[in-house]
Amino acid sequence: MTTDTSTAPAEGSSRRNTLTGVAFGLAAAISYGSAQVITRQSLGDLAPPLVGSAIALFWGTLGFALLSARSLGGRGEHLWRGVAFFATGGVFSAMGVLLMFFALGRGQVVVISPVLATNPLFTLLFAAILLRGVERITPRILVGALLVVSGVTVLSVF
Amino acid sequence: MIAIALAVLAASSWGLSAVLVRRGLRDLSTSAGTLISLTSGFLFTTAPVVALQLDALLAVSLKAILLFGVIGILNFPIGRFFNYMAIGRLGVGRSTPLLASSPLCAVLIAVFLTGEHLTLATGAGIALILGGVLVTITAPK
Repeated sequence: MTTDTSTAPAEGSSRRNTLTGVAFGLAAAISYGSAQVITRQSLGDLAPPLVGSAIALFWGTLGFALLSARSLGGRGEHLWRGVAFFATGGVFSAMGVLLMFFALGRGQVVVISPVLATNPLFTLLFAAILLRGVERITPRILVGALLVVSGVTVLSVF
Repeated sequence: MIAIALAVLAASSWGLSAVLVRRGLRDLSTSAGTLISLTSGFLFTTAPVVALQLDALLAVSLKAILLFGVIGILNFPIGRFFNYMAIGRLGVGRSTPLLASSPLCAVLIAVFLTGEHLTLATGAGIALILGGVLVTITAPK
């Protein structure tokens, strides 16, 4: 009986990559969750939401620029293509926040929150269309996203 | 109806943003990409504030500036950077449900730190989210 040892390091590396990815994802979720709690508990009517977003983004951008100044760098030949993707991604992310405030200003939270919570499904839809050949969106990933969306909807409505 | 349409547009904007970041990570480091996305997002958000709500911006108290500073640091240098690191390692499909579980973290923090009550519906929501995260992260790459 022989063992294919050549795949072992690759598997180990892949598992490590997955574990660190999950750790990063959880850390991001905890950061976002903590920010939500602080927003709910202490902000009240201190400033209009859009103004608050601009101030928060200012501090966030400044803080990140100071922290990451030494580690900035490209990784491929198409640096400007990467810049364009990230810049557009940042605009769409901010646009989502603006649209969320407009939606919440015109509708009830119990109606709007579940709709907002569907964003992972849009991510998967766009990934299936725009990342064809780069990433595989399997039925299992779709089921996982549906469960999370359902759970977030329950939390936001009740 | 307009409110729901706006919410759908918001959700799809976030979805598209994550996919664009996944593409961008092929050409740029996570740190540089995070900084670029924060800068473009800041400029995009600040323009309408300056145009439409300049008075409100100038009237903001020092307390609000500091609190929004804490929120900004949690959301952006920490939250967004880790978010992009997760996308880079897991792919957008497997990282998205993980990141979408942030309301679960908010609920747990609220229950343990601020003494909010855990209801049956909240428990059901938590179970669904945990199940979804488990199904996603154990999915083959």
